[in-house]
Amino acid sequence: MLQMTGGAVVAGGALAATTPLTGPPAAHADTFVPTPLAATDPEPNVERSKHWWPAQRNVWTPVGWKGHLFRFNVVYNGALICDPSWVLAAKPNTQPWHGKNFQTTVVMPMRGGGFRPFPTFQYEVWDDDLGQGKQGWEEDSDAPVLWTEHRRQEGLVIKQSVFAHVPGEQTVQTATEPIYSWTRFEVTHVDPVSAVKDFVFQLWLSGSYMKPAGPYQDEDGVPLTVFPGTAPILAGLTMGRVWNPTGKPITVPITDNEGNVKVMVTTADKGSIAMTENKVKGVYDLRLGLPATVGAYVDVLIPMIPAPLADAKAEAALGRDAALAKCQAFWKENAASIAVVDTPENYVNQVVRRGPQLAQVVAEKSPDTGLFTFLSGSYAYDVLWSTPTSMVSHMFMDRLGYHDVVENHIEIYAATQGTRTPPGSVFAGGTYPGYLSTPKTLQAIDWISDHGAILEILSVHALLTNRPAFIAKWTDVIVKACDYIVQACGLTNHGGVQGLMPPGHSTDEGVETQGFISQCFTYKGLTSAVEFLQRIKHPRAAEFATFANTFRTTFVQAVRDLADRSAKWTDAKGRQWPVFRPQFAGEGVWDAFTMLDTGALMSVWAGLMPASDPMMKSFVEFFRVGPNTLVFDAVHHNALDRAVLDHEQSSAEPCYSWNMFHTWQLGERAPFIEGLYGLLTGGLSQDTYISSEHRNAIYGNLFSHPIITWSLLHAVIDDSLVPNQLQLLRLCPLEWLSGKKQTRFEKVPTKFGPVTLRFKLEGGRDRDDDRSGHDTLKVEFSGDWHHKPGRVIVETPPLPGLKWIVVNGNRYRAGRRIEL
Amino acid sequence: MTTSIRVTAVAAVLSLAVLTVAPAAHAAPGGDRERPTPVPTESYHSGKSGKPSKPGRVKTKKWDVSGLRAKALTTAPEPTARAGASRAAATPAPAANDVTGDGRADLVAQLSGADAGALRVYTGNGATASNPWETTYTATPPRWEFADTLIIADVTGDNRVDVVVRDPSANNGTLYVYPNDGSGSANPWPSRFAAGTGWNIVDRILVGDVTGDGKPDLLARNPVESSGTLYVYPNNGSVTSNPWTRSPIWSGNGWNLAQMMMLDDVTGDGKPEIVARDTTGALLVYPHNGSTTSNFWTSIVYGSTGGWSSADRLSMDDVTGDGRPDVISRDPSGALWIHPWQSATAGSMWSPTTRFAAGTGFEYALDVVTGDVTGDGRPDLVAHVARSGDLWLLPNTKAATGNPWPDRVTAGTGWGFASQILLADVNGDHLQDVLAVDKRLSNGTLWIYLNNGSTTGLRWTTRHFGGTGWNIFNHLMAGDVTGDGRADLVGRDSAGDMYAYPGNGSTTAFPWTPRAWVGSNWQTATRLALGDVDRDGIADLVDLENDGSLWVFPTGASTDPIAIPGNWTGTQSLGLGHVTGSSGPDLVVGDASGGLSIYADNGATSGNPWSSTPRSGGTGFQGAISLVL
Repeated sequence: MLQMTGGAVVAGGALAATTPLTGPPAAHADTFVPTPLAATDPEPNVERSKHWWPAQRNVWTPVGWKGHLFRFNVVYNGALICDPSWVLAAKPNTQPWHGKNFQTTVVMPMRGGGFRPFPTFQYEVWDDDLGQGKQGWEEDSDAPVLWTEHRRQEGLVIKQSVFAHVPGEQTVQTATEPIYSWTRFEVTHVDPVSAVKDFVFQLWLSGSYMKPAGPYQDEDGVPLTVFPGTAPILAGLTMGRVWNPTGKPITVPITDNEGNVKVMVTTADKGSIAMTENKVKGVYDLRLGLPATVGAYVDVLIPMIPAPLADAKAEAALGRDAALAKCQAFWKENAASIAVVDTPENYVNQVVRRGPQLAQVVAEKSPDTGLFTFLSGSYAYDVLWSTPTSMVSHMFMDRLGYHDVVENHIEIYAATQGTRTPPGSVFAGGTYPGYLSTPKTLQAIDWISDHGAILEILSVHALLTNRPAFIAKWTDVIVKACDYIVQACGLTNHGGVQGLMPPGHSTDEGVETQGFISQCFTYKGLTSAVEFLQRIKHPRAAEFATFANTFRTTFVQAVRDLADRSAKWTDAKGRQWPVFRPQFAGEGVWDAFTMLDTGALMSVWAGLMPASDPMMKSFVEFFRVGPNTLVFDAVHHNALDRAVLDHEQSSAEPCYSWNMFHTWQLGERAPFIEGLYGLLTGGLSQDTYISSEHRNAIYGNLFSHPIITWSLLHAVIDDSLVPNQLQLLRLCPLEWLSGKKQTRFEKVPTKFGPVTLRFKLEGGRDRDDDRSGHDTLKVEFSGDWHHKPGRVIVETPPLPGLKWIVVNGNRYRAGRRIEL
Repeated sequence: MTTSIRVTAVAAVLSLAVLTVAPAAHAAPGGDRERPTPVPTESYHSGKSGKPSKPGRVKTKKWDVSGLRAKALTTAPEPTARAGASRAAATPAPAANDVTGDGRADLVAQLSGADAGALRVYTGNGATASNPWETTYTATPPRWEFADTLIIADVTGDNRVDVVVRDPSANNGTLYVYPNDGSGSANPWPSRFAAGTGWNIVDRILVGDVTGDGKPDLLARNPVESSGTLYVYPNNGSVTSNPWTRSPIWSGNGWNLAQMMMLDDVTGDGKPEIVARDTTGALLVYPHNGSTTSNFWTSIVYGSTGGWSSADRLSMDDVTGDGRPDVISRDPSGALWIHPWQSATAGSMWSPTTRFAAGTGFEYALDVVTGDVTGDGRPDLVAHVARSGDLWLLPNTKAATGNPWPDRVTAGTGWGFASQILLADVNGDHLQDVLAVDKRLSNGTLWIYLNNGSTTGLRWTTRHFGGTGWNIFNHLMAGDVTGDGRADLVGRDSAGDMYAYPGNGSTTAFPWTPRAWVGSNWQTATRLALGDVDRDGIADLVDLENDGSLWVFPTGASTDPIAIPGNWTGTQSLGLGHVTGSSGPDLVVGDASGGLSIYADNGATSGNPWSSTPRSGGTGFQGAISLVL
């Protein structure tokens, strides 16, 4: 745990002990017990931070098509789940396909021959294999192709790769167009000393039987669980007789009881295929053989919805390679507004590359409305929680320049505004024409914070893009949304703090509270709206600004009042500090973790409290070194346990690591960098970059991408710290300073307009390594301003030996704040 | 009572040139699911695990028929060229099924001879150093033609041996006990009672008192389970109904290494040992450990270190009267030999060469077993006359109408061991050789009878070893499915997978290369045949499904299979051959009444080639085990 000792700028004094904890260097620490970073440790980077935790278990990753109603999900072990209507909450538009699911499970031969039996009892998937596999994206493909590696002691490596294809390769119209997954199993390595001649593996064909289920005991949050009872395909599958002495690849359909194709296999050259029913009736063993020769492969084509034979044959006739080639144009991003992020850390670059693709897959064009929307997850949360999902827009996609995508996916909010009642008893019977909410047809659990979160989407989009058409269309919506906040905060028929957003459903807890999260999203959205309205000189801007100030004042007082009645913890110096419950009124159910994830720390992000406030500083420290850490068990914990900061990441749900905004605001470089890398490697699958809701469980979402994206962009291009000021390189990781490769952040959207920043080390002694020996940082900077910032500041990264910074050809002495 | 002089003329003069453990069934791609191991290769070193052990191997020999081949290549007639053939190999293949070399398909039928299904009892004469059985026999009525397993043992406890047989066609293998009525007549086993069904899952059955209660128990090996699991079914004491209804006792895995299994008291302690011949030709003795309730055989010693591979039947009995069991072997020529007990020294209990003759001409017998049938205290010999022991060649007369196979000439007797016969040119001499499967020997032994080119006498008189373990297939076919001009073997296993063993043309080694998967999901096929229907030089597959539909699967074509109109239910045999002289193969089907119908090829290569009205191919084939074109 970093004790505020490593940062170059430690503002406000450390509340906790400042003696650095000694421990092994981070690069050697790891695995099951969190190892604090030592002051002498090198600054984190991706590779070092990968060792901070065991690899995540239970990862599943969606593979699909932008906006399509259905998504395939690939489990860490290669299992492919095709479930058009599996949700943790009802969503009417997929109900026609409910129960029409399918799954293929990769089953490798056992030592001594044969295959393991199909499970017959309920257990967690990771009981089989520790829950970890080796996966990744094909980097030479714009289309997302997810590979899973199977290293076999028979002396070969099989690489399984999956991508989705919609014939015609166009943007979805109905969103229920036929969608196929192409899976290739290819031999990529054969042991030169000893290997089998031929290799046969098996696919279990079944209904989907690996499903998220949450015992929340010990280390298990919501792992994937085997439910054998859901596996049988009661109507049966049929594979025709296969006769292929020539050994040439042939296409073999496997059909359902209606004659539609469930699976189409193109066999390997000199390969084999057979299908028999498993001992478990309704489960089928599809045996696929291929020569143990590098390059040998077998292709498995699976339609999400069983396809007519002619259609499946046509898709199969196209062939996997041709289908993939056709996909490339669809996935290649051509929008001029999209930012370029190219750092010396490929992992970072790939996160930025694949994240937006995943976000557009975890989305749909709802067939019932014809409107696009982001969704909260895939194969869990395939609905819309607007609060957490809003961050996909305002902290992630818009920040990377996917403005068209964001605009396309938020139309639902205009259509829904004023049509629903906020989720709190205090709102019953009223009308709320400005209320922004999740459409009923997409709703999971409405939160009071949804309105503010949606307003933040709209306002940030307007501020970042400055698009006249958008502004013209949405200004009234925004104004009405501000009116709603005033209206709601004016309600007095409740027992909570008056003048704030009233109690209601703050989270999924099922109880009504006046939560921090409700206030923070409300204020965040409101102040962004005010900023926007002020920019366009809207006549009501001042009115709402005044209300916002009042709101903040009320909030701060409420916080101080809450502090007075809160339990206290004692820091290393013996001082006592409040332990904030996550709500001002009402009783929460999950306070043990929501006090971190949806609690007082949000106040800094929202702009309601300064990070330098001692209560805020102490509360961050509470999660770093407070009493929760003494009962925190890094191995045996789940998302409902008492939360701590583990490498600056929430041990509950990483996406709510609000401490990041504290360290950012305070300029606490060390914990900020630790948190940035912690989230990059701990909040995402290190293989597929898909996010988990909490570590080891509930994947298929983008929850952690927003805070990661916001942080990594603000580390180098910061338009948020000081109004009307642009800060460059303020918290730039040293790993991004390279003498070999120019780091590029191009067309990064800011409130001032797109900014391009490129930098590379130069000068000094000639060294082979990336950083040491260089004394000059060459910086190229430009802005395509729609609102030029009042000041542009360049900070000096704390790279030892750095003497000069050359910005656009002008040389400055390093170590000094440079104002351009 | 039927008494006759034993047939001594050896129909098929056997010259066993190969004692190799040939790779009859190479590892399946991936070596996947549990299945009988065709040729055991694992070495088991201890009986502690309950697995039988295999201490060592004998050196293998090679098959060398190069002389034959070279000779044949200079004398054989040129084959009929196939229309449209595009061959990868330089050597063209002969016209399939043309035994006589006239370009037309001949018919080879395996039919029953006299006494088929009878038991011939050769009474013991008391000799201990020479042939211990009389040369004449008493034959029972032919009641056991159905039986594929014959055991004689005193099941009813009256000191007279009873007959135990399995009917594989009844309820997946019904076991019957025929009690000896003590009449001393030619048929002392007139009645029977059933002893359970479903016994087809086992491939070895032995009877003896294992549990020490004086009642004979039943030993059964399940070859599919754990490389051969042996179970002992304790006797429940019933003498009028199934005596083996009690829960079986697991008695070790890995017993598939035993090509032959016997049960007798080798150690003289009154408890039976298992004696097994392994793939190296050694005799392994598994001493009874005295247990009465659990695995009875947990250790191993050599009875003899090798030299027993040439025997195609082995049994045990105390012929010499010294109180220890002697080994009774039948060699491939049909001669019986007594190998007297030598000593209790491990490895020297019996000798493959220290023996004396016990008669000849027993190649007709499906089983030769011993027991005291007459009750005189001497072991008598019981030989089970096989069905379909006679092989006939029906030359094609080239008649334009009517039955093209009106006459037949003998192709030998003593073929009763063969559960299936195929025709193929194995050695590339353009002459049709016979492949015969003995499914009772070493989990399915394949014998190759090379065609000696005779046009007047027997053609198939010399055989070569074609490997063991062929029982993993429930159907075998021969044809050129690789298009290289060589005869390949294609087998279907119980899972419906088909594997091809491509012919490699070798005349000095196993004539087929390791197997390759060629198809799957064929478990619903009731009949399969190979022939070049589309005349592209590669044999296609003709498939009769259990729903009565008939299909042609062109090899290498991307088209869907060709459906042959009609309901083909009831078809008992299916063959393809150039019977009528048409450009493509004609279809020959046999019905339940024994009649053959010939559907002449109409020249179609992508549609139904057999649309014409059929002509007769003769009658009387209802009893044929193999009917080969």
